Amino acid sequence: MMRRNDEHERLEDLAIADALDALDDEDRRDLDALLAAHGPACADCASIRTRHFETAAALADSVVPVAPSPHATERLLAAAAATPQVTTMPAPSESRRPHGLWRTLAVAAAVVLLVGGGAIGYAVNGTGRSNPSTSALTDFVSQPNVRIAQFPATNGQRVNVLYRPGLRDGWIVGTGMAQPPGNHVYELWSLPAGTTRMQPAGTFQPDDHGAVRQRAKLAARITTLAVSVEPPGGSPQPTTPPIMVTKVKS
Amino acid sequence: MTAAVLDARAPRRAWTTRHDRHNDRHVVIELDSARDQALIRRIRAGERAALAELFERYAPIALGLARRVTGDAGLAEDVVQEAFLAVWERPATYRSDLGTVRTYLFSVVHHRAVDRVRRESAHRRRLEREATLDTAAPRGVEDEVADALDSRQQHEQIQAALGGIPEEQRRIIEMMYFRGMPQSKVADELGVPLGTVKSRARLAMRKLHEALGGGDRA
Repeated sequence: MMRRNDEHERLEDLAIADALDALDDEDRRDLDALLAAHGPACADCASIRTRHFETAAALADSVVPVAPSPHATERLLAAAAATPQVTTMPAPSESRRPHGLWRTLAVAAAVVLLVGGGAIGYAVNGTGRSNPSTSALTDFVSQPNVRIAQFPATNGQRVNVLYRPGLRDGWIVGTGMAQPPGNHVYELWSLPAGTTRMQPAGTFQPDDHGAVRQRAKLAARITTLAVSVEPPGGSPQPTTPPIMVTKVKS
Repeated sequence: MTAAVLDARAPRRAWTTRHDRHNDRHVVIELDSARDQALIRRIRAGERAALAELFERYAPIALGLARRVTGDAGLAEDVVQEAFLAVWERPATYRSDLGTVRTYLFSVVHHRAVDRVRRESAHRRRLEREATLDTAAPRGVEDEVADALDSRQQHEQIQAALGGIPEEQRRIIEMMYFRGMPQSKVADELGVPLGTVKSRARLAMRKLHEALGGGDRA
């Protein structure tokens, strides 16, 4: 395993290519994985990336400025007048691959915000549990209209569900979670509007650091989310009382 | 009370100071940066006049950058329009603790320009025009624009910084940043290992950072 300093050396190479918009796809995955492993609170990662983006932006000063066409400002303002502003999410979605630094850091910050300021257990571990790709989560958070359902924190355990109203895909994000007893698993339940029957939304287990990042499959219009401890593999209906419950605004 | 210390190598930009009573020290504030942040705040409030001001302030360099990358004047105009419209549409994307508005804007413009080059095969057109753009950079009107923007100092500073790095490193930065080539293609075109491309890029960026007045590495 690479040491932290070695990882920052590696990250610097990737950050340079990212700042110059010269990252190959494989390297982008490596960069995402490194950033995820260090987490959004790593000051060195942020410093390295910011430094090289500042330097890359300075390269723009080497070009010869070009006067815009006479009606460029009017054209822009006309387009702006027809474009509603999105001010709720600090994550750009201007292209399939939005700008690296701003996208990654803004999304990371958004996710930190969503889990209530707790550090997300982003460590990549070898357990094979709760360890889906970070880019999938950041892609999800980058989408418009992402909401957060927060379960009340207990004993340092935080679990939140990210979802988009009316859509079924979601993510379970948690920190400080204790391992469920025996070979049991946690199971997320969603209650569709107008019904009283919970629907299974996915099982999850924390990694060795107590972190959870797991996709969820929610009912389309939900009013309540709950978590219970279930036998290995999960259950079609809850078999134990819920350990967490929260109301949801659809 | 401690005095504010300015790094002589730092870019010469307009600045002022304010006294931080809590820590009993002076904080240097770049006026340009403060003005840009104010524009972003106004854009967030839905003020289109602020967008126009930001555009008129940075469009000439943004357009020069987009044109340099795409090699196509029309495409460059579109790229810059889209970039500024993206700032309008999602103003919360910019965060002041992650860098200056200027860096953010040019990053967005550059990224979009590279994206368009790769998508629309403007690369070939750019190569055909490259010699003209690189060796006989149009002067006159554009120089007047540069003067009007008071960007000549920064232009000269980055030109000097680029001139101060070895040719083999400068070439790699040129290929990546101004020609929009991914590292693997740079390695192929130069016939050198990918690791060599990466190490040269690292050395070049570190030297540029220092030449532009940057501090120690993290």
